[in-house]
Amino acid sequence: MRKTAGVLLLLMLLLAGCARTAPSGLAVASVSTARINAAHLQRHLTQAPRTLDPSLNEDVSGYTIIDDLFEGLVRLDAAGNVVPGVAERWETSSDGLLWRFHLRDQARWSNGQPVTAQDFIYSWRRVVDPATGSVNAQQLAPIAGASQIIHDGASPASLAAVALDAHTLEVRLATPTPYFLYLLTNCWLMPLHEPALREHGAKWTEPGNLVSNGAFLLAARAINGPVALLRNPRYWDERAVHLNAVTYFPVPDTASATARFLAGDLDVTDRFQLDDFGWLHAALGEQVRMTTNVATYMLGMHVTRPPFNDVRLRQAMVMALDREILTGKVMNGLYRPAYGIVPPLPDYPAVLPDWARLGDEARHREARRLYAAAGYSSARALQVELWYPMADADTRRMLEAMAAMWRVNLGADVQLRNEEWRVHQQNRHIRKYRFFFYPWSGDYPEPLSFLALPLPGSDQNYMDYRDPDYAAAVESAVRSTEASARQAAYHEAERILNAAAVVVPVYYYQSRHLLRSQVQGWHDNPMDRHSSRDLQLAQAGSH
Amino acid sequence: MWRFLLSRLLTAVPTMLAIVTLVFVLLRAAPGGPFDSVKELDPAVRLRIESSYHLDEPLPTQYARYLGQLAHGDLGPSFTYPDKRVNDVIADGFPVDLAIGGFAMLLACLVGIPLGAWAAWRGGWVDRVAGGIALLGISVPVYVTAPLLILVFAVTLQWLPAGDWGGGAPRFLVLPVLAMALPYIAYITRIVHSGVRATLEQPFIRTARAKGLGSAAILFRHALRPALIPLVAFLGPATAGAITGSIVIESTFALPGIGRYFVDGAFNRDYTLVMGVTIVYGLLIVAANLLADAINAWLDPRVRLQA
Repeated sequence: MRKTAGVLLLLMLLLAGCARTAPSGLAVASVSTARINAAHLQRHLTQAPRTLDPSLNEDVSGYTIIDDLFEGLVRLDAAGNVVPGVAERWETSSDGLLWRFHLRDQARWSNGQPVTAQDFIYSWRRVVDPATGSVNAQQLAPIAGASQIIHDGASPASLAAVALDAHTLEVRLATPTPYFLYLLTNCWLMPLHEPALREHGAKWTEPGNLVSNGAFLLAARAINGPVALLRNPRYWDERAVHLNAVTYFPVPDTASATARFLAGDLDVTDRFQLDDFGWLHAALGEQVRMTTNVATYMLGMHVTRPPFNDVRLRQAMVMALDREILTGKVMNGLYRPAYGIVPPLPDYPAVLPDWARLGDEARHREARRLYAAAGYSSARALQVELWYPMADADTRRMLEAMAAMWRVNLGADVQLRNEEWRVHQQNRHIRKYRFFFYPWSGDYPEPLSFLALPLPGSDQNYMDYRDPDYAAAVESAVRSTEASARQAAYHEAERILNAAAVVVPVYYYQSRHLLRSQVQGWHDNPMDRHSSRDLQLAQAGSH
Repeated sequence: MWRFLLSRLLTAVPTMLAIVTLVFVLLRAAPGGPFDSVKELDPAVRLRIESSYHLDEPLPTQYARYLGQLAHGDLGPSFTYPDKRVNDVIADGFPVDLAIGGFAMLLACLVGIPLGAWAAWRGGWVDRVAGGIALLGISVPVYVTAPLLILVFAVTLQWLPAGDWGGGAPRFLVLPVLAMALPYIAYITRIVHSGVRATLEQPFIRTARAKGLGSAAILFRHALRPALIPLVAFLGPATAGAITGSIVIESTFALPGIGRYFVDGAFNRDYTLVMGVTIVYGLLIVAANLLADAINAWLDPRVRLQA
């Protein structure tokens, strides 16, 4: 409800006016002592999970809860690093294709039965089996045999994951996959307890039916309402778990979520409005948390049809934007400008295109030169429609500012066209657009998660960009087992992509949380995943 | 009288059928399907999903299948919640709206009827104050009052929760019920006010006064009852609307009701869910109008005589 948000914002601003003169003017609730003693955390979800079935889930809110309920071979620690989960150790062959995982003996299902290699195999076969109808099937493509099962009707039993014994799982990959361990932390690769699924059918995710192996158990779930979890006494690492109970509240309206944080109902919120940052920061200080995400806000251009089949025009469009103004003024200085498709990643220095080093004057001049070279002038201005799905106020404001920059810096006439979300997705798939909204959030913290987008076989290549050199550079990065060689190949791919100007990178996203000071164990991390296993509640000041 | 109600009930059947058909056609005519998402589905997987929902069948077959299910009271599987049926989704959310909407209408009547009647009876400053309140209640939308209530009672005073259903515990109901009731209080005040005003000018009131009846007796025994007739006509559809949930109230207070499915379900192209909530809403409107007619017949002897 944009209007609700707007009004609440207005009221908050009034309050913020008071807060600026007296920062203590805004009463901020704290977690009640009763809840601290009960170790009961209340978390926010930006939407209700549609399902808690790890094979079928595709929502961020589903991920968050499934991360608490289930544990894969490996998991992410609080800082977002891959650490052992059900597997206590693993080996890999020198070509990176064969992986052998040793499962810990103590790993148990919530009904007391041991977690075995077969539980993983059952789950993975279920995901790739077209009969399951999982949207995540394609995510298992790195495992040998998966593509044949998905596309060619091969038997799910042909998936190259075998149990050498109850506690040893061997997986063969179809291609080297640098991010394979990270992939294993995703919900669709969690183990499943086959008897529970057989017994309850589609109802197996109901409280009471759901058998899980993670730090928490499902206690209650209302459709579109709260999801309550309780500590799992049979979790193998139960001693490391601090919380006794976690309740997730779906609150899609961000202004309402902020109000509920202020009222003391929610201890962590997953989003607040960018405009609210100023007064929230004044009132809450360190309880406002922002970190750069592995996500890029960008636009796509269709490269084989006019007008963007001319690389000079594409380059002009990319160069003409004043990103420092967009992030600094339009987005209140809270986002980082993007000059390339790959967001900042740990251990991956960004590739900066040459034009990014030019001063504004020189850059505008170069953009205008390219624009003119492509055959456009003030008499014959570029006229193009930029399509985007229904979006929040932040996005609209950003797009309007960009359209203004193209008009002023180039003389181009960019018309903004808004569509309903599902319609937009469908129209992108059928290539209706020349110029479109193209944000991307990485599936894993690896350049490949972005550089794979414009590859010939990618389902996200709405630009229809096909360059064998680019594909070869990406391929060589994936194949190299040595980190520095891989990085060099990624850099080469990025340079090719920058020169081809296939997308207009604008800025890198930030995660935006409100985190009550009594919540401890929280580490900001680029993938923005925070399992409740690592969190605890404590009186402020007592560590 | 009974024949009148029965005929009304029978005309409801083609009405509902027309609604179902219209929604069925409109939903499927909208571009974008329930499984169009950021990640493109593999054709084999897509085919499996679509056939499991019978979306691969020709539209007339789908329509016949849906009507057949409906005849058995089955609203079909939800597209948004793959492990739920629409019946479950509505059964889960409807009690929330029933409680919020029901209490809101009750509160609105308890405040609006006496306020409207008193203002019309007393006139003068009471009339002007009540008129001002009513005007304010009608013109200030819920998306202003609801956040305002949260700001005052939840954030600043911290007396009440800022949202959530809380299993229907009274303290969770106070703010959403209040926010929802305010505009209804305003409407009811105005309707009762003009009704009582008009009735007070009728000759039979003059007769009553001439016979020496007291003010209270005239107001409550003679003036109020005919004045309530337009109110009942308003309350029928209004109650049906209130108990099927308000998208603003539900999203502001994060309530798990069914009101948001009218919007979310449509955006998600959740054909069966939109159909389900539309049918529930349609049935409630029909039932509420029927009830309003019955009450009006009881209130107004002229209606009874005609029947």
